[in-house]
Amino acid sequence: MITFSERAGYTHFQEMFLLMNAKDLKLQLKSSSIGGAWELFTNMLEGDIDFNCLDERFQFLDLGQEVSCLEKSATCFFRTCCLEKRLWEIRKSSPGLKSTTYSWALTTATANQTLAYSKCSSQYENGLIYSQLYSPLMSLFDAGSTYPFQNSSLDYLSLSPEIFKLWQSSGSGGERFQVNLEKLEKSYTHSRDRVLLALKAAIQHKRSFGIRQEHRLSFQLFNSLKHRSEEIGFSQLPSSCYMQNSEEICHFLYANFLRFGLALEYTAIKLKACSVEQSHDLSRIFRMFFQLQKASFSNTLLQAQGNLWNSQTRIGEKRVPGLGLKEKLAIYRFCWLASSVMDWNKWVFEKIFSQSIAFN
Amino acid sequence: MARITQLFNYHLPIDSPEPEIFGYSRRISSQQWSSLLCGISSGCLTPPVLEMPIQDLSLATTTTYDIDSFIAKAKCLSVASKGVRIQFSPSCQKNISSDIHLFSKIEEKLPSGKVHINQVPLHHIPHFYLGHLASSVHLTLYVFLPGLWNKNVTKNSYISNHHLQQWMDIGFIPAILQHCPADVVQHLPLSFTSASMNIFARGRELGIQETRFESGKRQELHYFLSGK
Repeated sequence: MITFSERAGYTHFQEMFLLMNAKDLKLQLKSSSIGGAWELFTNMLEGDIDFNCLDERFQFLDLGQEVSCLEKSATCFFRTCCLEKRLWEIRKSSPGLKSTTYSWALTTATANQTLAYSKCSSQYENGLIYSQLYSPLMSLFDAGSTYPFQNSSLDYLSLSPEIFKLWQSSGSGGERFQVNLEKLEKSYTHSRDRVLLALKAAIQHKRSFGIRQEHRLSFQLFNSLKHRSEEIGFSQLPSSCYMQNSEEICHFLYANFLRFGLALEYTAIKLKACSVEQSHDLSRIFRMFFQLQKASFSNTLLQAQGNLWNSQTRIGEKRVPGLGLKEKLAIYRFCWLASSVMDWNKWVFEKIFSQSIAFN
Repeated sequence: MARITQLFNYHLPIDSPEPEIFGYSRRISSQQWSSLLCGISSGCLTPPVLEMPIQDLSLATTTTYDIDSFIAKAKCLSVASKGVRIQFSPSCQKNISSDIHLFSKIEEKLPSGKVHINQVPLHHIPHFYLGHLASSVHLTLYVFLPGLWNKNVTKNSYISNHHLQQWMDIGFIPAILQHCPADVVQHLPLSFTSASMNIFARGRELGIQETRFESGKRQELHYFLSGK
């Protein structure tokens, strides 16, 4: 193949390399020690890989550590304050660190975090590439990396059927617009019912959930950690974490998810019966509740959703109001909506929102 | 937390949602909405603060370790000691599309004659899925072609059919013909085009319902090549 890539006319294939990418092995390679996990890996390979053919400077592993409670119906959580404190300390010694903290279920109760170390940092140079800390609670909703409401076309459900018909029948662009609303409604209810079923089953089976951290490491760094499991293991829950009753957690998620779903589906019925003029605001109300529902049962990067996070955003000359969940979290540790967002009786936005472009 | 859940459950209607049904048409009062979404009622205008009960920290835990992924560059196909299952018409859906936080150096010749070294994220370098190792479908192999990387189209890792055809028909398949015995070769599709037609054969040739011709489900065909 190398000779081929050097032939005239085929030099664009020069420098080609093979990459081995083995993934989703965590359930197969679980052990009480790091060395044990490595042994399981080599056993699994049964001599399938000739390690001499690998590039010694480019071998990486994802090492996972999970701390789980032995009790039934116990859920471990990272403390958000500890995650932030730890991040602050790492940031001091890690220039260019990119971190993201995903808040959980519109609360400050816990969070997931990812850390991507800059190529110039000492961590990266020493072989630590990327870290993530998360709750396996999210696996309740993971269907082979398809998460509920992942279909980006679901936003079309926020259009009134009349507008939708107009859109589909208008000109050549409309002809290409082949979205089936019935299919989207099914997609929505499938996601919704899947979330509710997963939570019900977790309550019924008194499931427990631990905490997980996973680090992408160079092979050299992995080797230096291989025999040090005892130094970094926990026989008791670390102080940076705390325990909650799983049933309480799942009941909370269930109700939190339902209240926004109810508001969204209440709006959907109004959208079907409204005039074209009324539909604009109702569509925006639908989109607001949809964003909230998507954030209500798992981890989300709320900060990236300006309409939810800020109480006001500047877009050019315009000031766009938002739900200000940042402040609500600081006061109530929970994202309550301000009563001034909507007229709950008439089901319309209050003036400040109706005259803005929020949730457009 | 239990207090907030209780508040929600008190105000949520018991008939919602019905499985597979979209939409809620019964009336819900503004007081109910205020309680559910704002946490307030006529008797209490301040929403409750979320309290998490402190639990006993002395509960015993276990710590387990695992290796979830292994990513490595390989020098040649001999890395697959026991053989590899090859796809001659690879699916671009198997491309690495998310950031795996690893980089590879690619040299770029500048008009001045100098050479600039770019650190390019792996998921931006043109590549394709070649197949997987004999022992597990989880041990996948990719071919990376940094020579096709274009600074101006950094976010596209796909390889055109034209380049795939060149790579297979002029590079890879002749090498197989040279090294594999005839009893193996007789089972393989020996061109990129015939391999591409084979993967759609089941989807396009069987069945009686009308579908668009160019669509049709792929059949992920792999062919085993021994490591010996």
